[in-house]
Amino acid sequence: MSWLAWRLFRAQGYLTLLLLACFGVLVALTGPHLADLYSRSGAAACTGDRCSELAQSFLNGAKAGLTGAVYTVGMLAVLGFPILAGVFWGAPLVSRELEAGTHRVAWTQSVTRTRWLLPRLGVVLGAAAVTAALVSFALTWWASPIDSTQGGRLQPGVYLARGIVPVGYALLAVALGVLLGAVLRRTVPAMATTFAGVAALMLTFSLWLRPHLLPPAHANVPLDLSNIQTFAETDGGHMEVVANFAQKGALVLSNRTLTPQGKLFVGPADPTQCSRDLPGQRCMDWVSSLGLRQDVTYQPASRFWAFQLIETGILVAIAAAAVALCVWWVRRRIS
Amino acid sequence: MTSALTARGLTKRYGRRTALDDCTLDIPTGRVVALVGPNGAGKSTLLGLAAGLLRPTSGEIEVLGDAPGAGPDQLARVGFVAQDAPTYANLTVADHLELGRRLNPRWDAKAAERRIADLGLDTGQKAGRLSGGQRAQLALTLALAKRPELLLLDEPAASLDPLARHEFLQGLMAHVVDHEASVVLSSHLVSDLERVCDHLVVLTGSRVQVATDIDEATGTHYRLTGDARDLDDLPPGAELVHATDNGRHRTVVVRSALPVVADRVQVEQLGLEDLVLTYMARAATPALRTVASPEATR
Repeated sequence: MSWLAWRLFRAQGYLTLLLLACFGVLVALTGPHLADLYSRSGAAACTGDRCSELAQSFLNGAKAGLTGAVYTVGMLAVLGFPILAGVFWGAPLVSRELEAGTHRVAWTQSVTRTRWLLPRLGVVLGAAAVTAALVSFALTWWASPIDSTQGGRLQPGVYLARGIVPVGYALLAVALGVLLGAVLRRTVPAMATTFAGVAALMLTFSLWLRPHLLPPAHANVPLDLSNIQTFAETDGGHMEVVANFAQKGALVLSNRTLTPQGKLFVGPADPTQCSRDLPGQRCMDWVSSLGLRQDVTYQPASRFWAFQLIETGILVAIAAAAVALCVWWVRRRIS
Repeated sequence: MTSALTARGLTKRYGRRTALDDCTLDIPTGRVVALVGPNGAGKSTLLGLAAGLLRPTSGEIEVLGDAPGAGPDQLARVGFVAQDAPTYANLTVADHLELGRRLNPRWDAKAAERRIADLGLDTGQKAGRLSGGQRAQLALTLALAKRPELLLLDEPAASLDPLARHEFLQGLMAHVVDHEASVVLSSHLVSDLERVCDHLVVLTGSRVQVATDIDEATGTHYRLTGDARDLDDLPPGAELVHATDNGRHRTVVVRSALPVVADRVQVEQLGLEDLVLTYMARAATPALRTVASPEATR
């Protein structure tokens, strides 16, 4: 039975291998160059004021030319692969058989439907997991200089394309695709709903769920006006002052500036210090004399792998439930 | 001896549409059964239920003494060729034989290869490139080489030209004779079935109209043609099947165990095709099932 499963997947499998090989060659060719660029830029070992300048010049170099192209291709590949696998490997697996009538051939050989479905699921799920793992680990290794220089790996767009989470999404997408194909019985609607379902799940995790998978950390530190994000004063004397959070690569959930009494700082601005006619530095000095504090809830960068493990675990559990439901559906409900 | 197929009150509904209604049947083994009826009568549904692809809404069906599709053993005993003979378009003829070999414990590889060679099929050809007739032959080869005890064929000859149809049925019969398999063959073309079948099931309007051995059926059905007044009373022992009026003339089909003799009336035995047509017509015009309406004597 596994022979038929492989035979029906073979063409797609070879195409995937070819694309993987191309990507591997690109990564292998440009990886050393990127690492060299990183060590020569001095961004890795820097301390003090010039850091952001060095980081920016490294990023400008890294995101130009071939390395820039590899970064873009790699991001698209790792982010897009789970969706593509769900849409093109998962959704048609049962639905195309039902549309073409070939299930009448497959299900009337001397093999039960379950014994027909499980190997087919195994081949596609295995191929999806291996492909996602290879592409993701290649990019995680290749892009590590870039990741440690810019906003960190917990930022949603980066997080989804690193580590083991792409494997979880690939498994989930394929399992969901097969299930929707079996339930809807038509290929194109199954593909469309699989696309929508996986994209919605990625968004839901990134926007709402992931920040709360672990209780956030909390920091209350003196406001550092040398690292300012927002400094605004409106006509009524209302002020908004927010500093960047100093911890590198943290995912900031809330960032408020509080008065020494613990209230949200909103002014009022002292008209003798802050005015259009006076130099801005004078107003800054006045604000720094107020003893304001920065109050931040955040997820530290060190939790990257913990988040990856938890999220992948949840995704694999949903995928397993979808597989179980799919087997039941094919056995009981397609008749 | 167990029956090839028994059904008791077998009903299949798709939503509000009834595809098969309260079907009760008992088909003995060793027969070649013609399952006849117009399109949409429920033939495919009955065969799908027997192959285990469909599940009854209510009622029971047993195939070779077991529930259809109950397990690998049961699946191995039943061969099925679905309507339009579906095959994997991207797989070659050789791939299909490999599929059969790997998925069936009783697979007869030699017979399958010989059959493909006799048919002149190119084993490297993709099934999607075969003609309708070749595809039907490939699907039949797959079903035959499985060595089933019961072979279910759903309109297998529908897409074939007369010559290919003849060869197809000949190949089928040769196999049946060699292996003593039972066959249920559905078709709306009665002429195909007359040569090969010995048992008849007529299905119309999702109901079984008649199920009988063909020899017995053709020997017990008579058509009486004559003046309407002479046919008001049927001969003794005759059971009315269907009557049609045409002005003063009336044509009556009766079923009678005894030979029918009648005065001033033309009597003839019914052939298979006429028999099937009569039962189809009866199902289509239920008002005429009983004796003629008063207008007939006007």
